[in-house]
Amino acid sequence: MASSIENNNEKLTLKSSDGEEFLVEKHVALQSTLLQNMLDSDCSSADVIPLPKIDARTLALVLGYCKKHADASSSKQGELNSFDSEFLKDMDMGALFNLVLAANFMEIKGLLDIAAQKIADTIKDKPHQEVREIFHVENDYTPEEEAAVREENRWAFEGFP
Amino acid sequence: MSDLSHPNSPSPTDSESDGESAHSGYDPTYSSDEPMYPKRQRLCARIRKAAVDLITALPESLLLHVLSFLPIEDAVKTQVLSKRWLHLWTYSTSLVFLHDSDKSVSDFVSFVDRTLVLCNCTKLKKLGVRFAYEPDYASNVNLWTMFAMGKGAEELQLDFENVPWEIDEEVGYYLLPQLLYSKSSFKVLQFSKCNVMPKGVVCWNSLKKLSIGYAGLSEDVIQKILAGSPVLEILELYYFYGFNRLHISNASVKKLILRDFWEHNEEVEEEYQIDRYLSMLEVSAPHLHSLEILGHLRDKICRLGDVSSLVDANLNFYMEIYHSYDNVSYVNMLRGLLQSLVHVKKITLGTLAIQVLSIMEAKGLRSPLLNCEFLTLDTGIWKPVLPGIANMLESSPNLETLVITTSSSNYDACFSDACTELCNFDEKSYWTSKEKPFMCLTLHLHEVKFIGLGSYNFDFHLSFAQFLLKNARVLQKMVIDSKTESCNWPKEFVRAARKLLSFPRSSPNAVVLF
Repeated sequence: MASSIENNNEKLTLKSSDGEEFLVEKHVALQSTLLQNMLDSDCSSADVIPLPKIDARTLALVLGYCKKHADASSSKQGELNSFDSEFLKDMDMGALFNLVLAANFMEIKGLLDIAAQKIADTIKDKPHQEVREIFHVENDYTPEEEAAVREENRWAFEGFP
Repeated sequence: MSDLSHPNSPSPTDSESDGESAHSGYDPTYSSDEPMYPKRQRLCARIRKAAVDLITALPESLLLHVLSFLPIEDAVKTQVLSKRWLHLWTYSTSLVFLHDSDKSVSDFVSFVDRTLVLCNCTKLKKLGVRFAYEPDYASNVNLWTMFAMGKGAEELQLDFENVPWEIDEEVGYYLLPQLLYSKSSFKVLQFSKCNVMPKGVVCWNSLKKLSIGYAGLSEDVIQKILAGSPVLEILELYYFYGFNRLHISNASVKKLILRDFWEHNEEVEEEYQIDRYLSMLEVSAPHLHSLEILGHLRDKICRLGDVSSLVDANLNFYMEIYHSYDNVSYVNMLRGLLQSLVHVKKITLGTLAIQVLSIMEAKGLRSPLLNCEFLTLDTGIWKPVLPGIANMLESSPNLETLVITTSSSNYDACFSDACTELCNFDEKSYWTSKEKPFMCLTLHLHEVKFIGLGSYNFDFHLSFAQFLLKNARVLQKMVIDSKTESCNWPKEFVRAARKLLSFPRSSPNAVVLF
């Protein structure tokens, strides 16, 4: 891996938390503000850039997104939009959260936004019991407390179950 | 009860340790020593267990980011999820209130009032409101606007739909408070059905994008706004009236969108319909890069002054046509527009403009010679537009890319009667009868795209494609993008595709893609 960097300045190697290495073209990596800043400073001389918070599965997804957006910059926005919606389709919540964390860490605004939007869409219009189930949120209110929250904020819940 | 009134309120800036500990808690794959795949089953069970409170594992800054994509009603409701969520939503920096027509307007207004009172964020990014405004709520909306200004909002959107006093806007519209004009934190402003009337100096020093719709705007008001918006980049006006001249001297303004002119004084119009006087709108903006004139221009004749920096022009508009044969003013208008666009690299024309070009072709009037390299024709291909297309190809010797998009309203009649009568030709053999090839086909045209091709008038598209394949010597690819429709008519599509592939090509490198 390291030798391929020396041979080709246009590529760099990223290492996931579980030790897998990804060889990435530079213009693809530049979709990430974090990597861009690292490349702008001296860090680019490092052989391998470790990403200790991102597992291989997530990193592969992130790089897939970056590649599409880096290569398609000149093509139509509509094409990218349909790629984006296809990209997150059928993705389970765990993967989605990992993606949000990774996009946030690597500072990839577009990916962060579509992943956050996808999570928001899942919560939208759902009664809170259901939202709790979807996200496995543990309700730490006592029944009295919950009733009080609802009572005091009745204006917000009118018309909702 | 006491612990509810003293919640461990989240800090708007993400507390690192909190996010960190929760983070390592939910995803066991992060403890990297463990081999992942052999123990998959056990791991799955662990993930499931760790997945408890999965969303709560996100740091607060990210949860707020998720909340900012929720309609505000849903964001407010998240307070019952758990204690951590009780006050989280109040730090949301984006508040967008959209009225749902199932609910009463007064409920909506009090919902906005109460929500804003609870808002804890120190700096607001966006406040947006859309509802059927009534004058009774002026003081409420004033407070909301003041709130946005007080919180240093970057984006304010006041979108008032269904105002019942549409005709007499002076009475029914919300009058923007004068203080708003001197607030320099705004980057994006959008006003729909608001009265925009600055009395003093406008001071929108950070404003990048301004959009005003359903409004009467005087030349004076526009100049005041432009003078007070030194970094404005995008100006959009839709359903507007009240001025005949738009001069933008700001070097920062790169994009102008004029969409749907407002037919004012409708009744008077009808009385004088016969010897109707077409009114004029003159646009000049020497620094503009992109200009879009879209939608219904009513009876406005557009003229362009200095647009010398323009690279992209979209003339996908239609107009009131009282008599198909009375077309001199339209011909003059289009010739004038094209004359002003001779240097522009990217041009989009709608079906009306192309039909006017057909009339010009029939009268022997060429479009001025254009520098256009990228041409988009938003029209169905049928008889009344064929000579217009030929006219454009003839006048664009440098054309490299041609896109034909065919959306639904593309067969508007416009001048079709006049075109059909003036253009005495057999539409079936129109292209094969063109003996002299266009210069752009010989020299530059390397990409052709048909987008949204439907089965309607398919043969017209086919014979045009055949003509292009036969004559475009340097063509590299022709793309037929019919994603949406092809499933409805697979048989015909396959037949057409076979036919298309069998056409002779003059360029050795040309590929046809579906």
